[in-house]
Amino acid sequence: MVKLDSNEGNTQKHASSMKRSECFLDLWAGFFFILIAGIGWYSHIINERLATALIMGGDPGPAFLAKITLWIITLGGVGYLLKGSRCLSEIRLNIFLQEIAKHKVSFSFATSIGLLVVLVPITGFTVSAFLFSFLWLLWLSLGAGISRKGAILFSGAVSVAICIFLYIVFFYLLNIKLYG
Amino acid sequence: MLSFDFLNSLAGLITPISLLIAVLGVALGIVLGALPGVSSTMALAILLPVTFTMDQSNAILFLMTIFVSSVFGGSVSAILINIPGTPAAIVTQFDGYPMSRSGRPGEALAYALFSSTAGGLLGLLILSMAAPLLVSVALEFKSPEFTMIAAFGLVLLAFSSSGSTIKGIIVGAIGLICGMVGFDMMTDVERFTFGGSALQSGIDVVPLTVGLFGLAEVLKNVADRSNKNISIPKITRILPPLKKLLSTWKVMIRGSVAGVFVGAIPAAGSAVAVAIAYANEVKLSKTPEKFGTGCAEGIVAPEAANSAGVGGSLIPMMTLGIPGDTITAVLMGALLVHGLRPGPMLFTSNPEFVTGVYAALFIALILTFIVGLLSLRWMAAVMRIPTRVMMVLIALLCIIGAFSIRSNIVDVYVMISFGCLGYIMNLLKIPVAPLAFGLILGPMLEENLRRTLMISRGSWEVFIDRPIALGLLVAIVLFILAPFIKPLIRRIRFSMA
Repeated sequence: MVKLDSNEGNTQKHASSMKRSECFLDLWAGFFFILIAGIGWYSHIINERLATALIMGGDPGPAFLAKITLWIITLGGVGYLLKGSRCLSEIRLNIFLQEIAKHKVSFSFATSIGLLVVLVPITGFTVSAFLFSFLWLLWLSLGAGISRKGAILFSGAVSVAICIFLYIVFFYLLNIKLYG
Repeated sequence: MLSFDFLNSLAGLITPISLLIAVLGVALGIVLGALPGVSSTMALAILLPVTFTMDQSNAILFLMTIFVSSVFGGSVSAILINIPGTPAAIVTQFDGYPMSRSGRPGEALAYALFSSTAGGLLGLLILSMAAPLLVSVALEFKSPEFTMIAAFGLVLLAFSSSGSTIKGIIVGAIGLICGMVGFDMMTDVERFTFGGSALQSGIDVVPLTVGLFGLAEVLKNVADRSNKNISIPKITRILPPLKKLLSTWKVMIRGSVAGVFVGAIPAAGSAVAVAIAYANEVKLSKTPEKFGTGCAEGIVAPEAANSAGVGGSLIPMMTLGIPGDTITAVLMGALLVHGLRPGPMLFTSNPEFVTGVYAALFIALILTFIVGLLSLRWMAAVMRIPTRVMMVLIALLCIIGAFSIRSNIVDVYVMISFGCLGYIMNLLKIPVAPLAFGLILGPMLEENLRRTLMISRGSWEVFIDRPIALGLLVAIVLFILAPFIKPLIRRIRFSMA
């Protein structure tokens, strides 16, 4: 009987934690959709030609479907925001920042790809690609517990191999102009 | 007539260059499909730029070989290390891994390979028979029907995507907006370009799919710095006893039929097909307790269904121009790049393309079988490629892939943006696939809607007057209302009880 009660308690706790997590997801999804809708509406409003595009004959015009879809996103966003609003009071800045910090590696990776693209016109693709792959492989290898010397050798060798492979396939064989 | 055209197309593809391309596609597909974290969709998306310098027929052949072989590749890691390479291989690991652990990894892989090939061939046969029938109906469709088909496809795909239907519909709407970026095709008015020139030529489907399905996955996997020590079994004996293999023919056929029909339903996907095929075999088996312990039927049924699903998923794409799942969405994007818009008109305007697809699929299946059989012993080596190396390489391939489509650096930034967007959406449990579906189906929806309204002089009654359009409209409304109706019915039942 005691065991049953404890199980029931656990199940209730689990269900309540699931509901809470769903509530947060709805709230953030609401923010996300509103943000996208906001960007869309902004672009729509500053476009005078689109705002004044006339309905010709039966054609509802280029703004017609755009407005409908923007309304769908806006209303959907507001709906999710309202659905998750009961969690609004539970949002704490420090917890939010801790959550964001969990994804710093992924966002650093995305940022470094952006930097690589910026570097391409200056150093060329091969050098930028080598730097990108060497630094990331080194960091990831060190994180995987490989010794510093081993990680440097491994990252250097693999980066050279990757760059040679990409150069042969995409520049030499397929003539893609990214290297130019 | 069809068989003659098919043989003609087949003969056209049996040249040294084409076969070399096909073998390369198969090898890459198996390797990428076998790597955990690299799905068939991702494999297709990152290898798409390789086809840009190829002619149409070789490009289709290359893409088909990657599609088919990566589906098989997904089962390799499921069997050898209990990690499915692709989501559809999840069910294969139920019996594949126990068989592998019992000292028969080669046998398990061989069962997967044989059933995958048989399922794929049956799927191709059904595709070639069903497609002309569906096309003969679709050829009668006019703008109102195409408007409704595009809207129905979008709603259905949103409905079946992982996560909530409403979120799927909203994401589909975001995809529609992405499809509108650039000049409006009828009035030349710019939309969603923010007044700049960077987005005037619109958002291409390739950077979007490469970002959503390629980079977003890399961002997810790159955060894991752990060095996992996975024990990989040594493959010794490969072929199972012939009698044992042949005794599974009924299972292969049942699995294939489930795969092709479920795969043909837009958005149902091969993951659903394999689950149905497996559950069906458990139900029909006289010894259901053997499932999950390494029985051959538990590998054969899902693998046949998975591979047959390839043919099935091509049915809506080729006949109606609706991608059935994310893989066919990327494939459709690739065909658009090569100037081919799948749909019923293609069957009359470019029948060589249709038979070319059948021939390419046939070659892909046969070569996957041959290359797979010859390389079974070395497949374990693929598992030893460190994830971090693959992630860095794939990130670089994503950049090249996005750039090479139009030699435009803006496309690379678009790809990175969608990669980040996809990553955030995954975190928030928002389905990403409807974004790609919206981008692909959006122009079809808008063009046909506006054409319909121009012809009907602005009257919406045309959608009610035409029975097929009306039927689809009713289905759309039902699918949209389903998430609200279900709890309502449950509440009424509960209050009545």
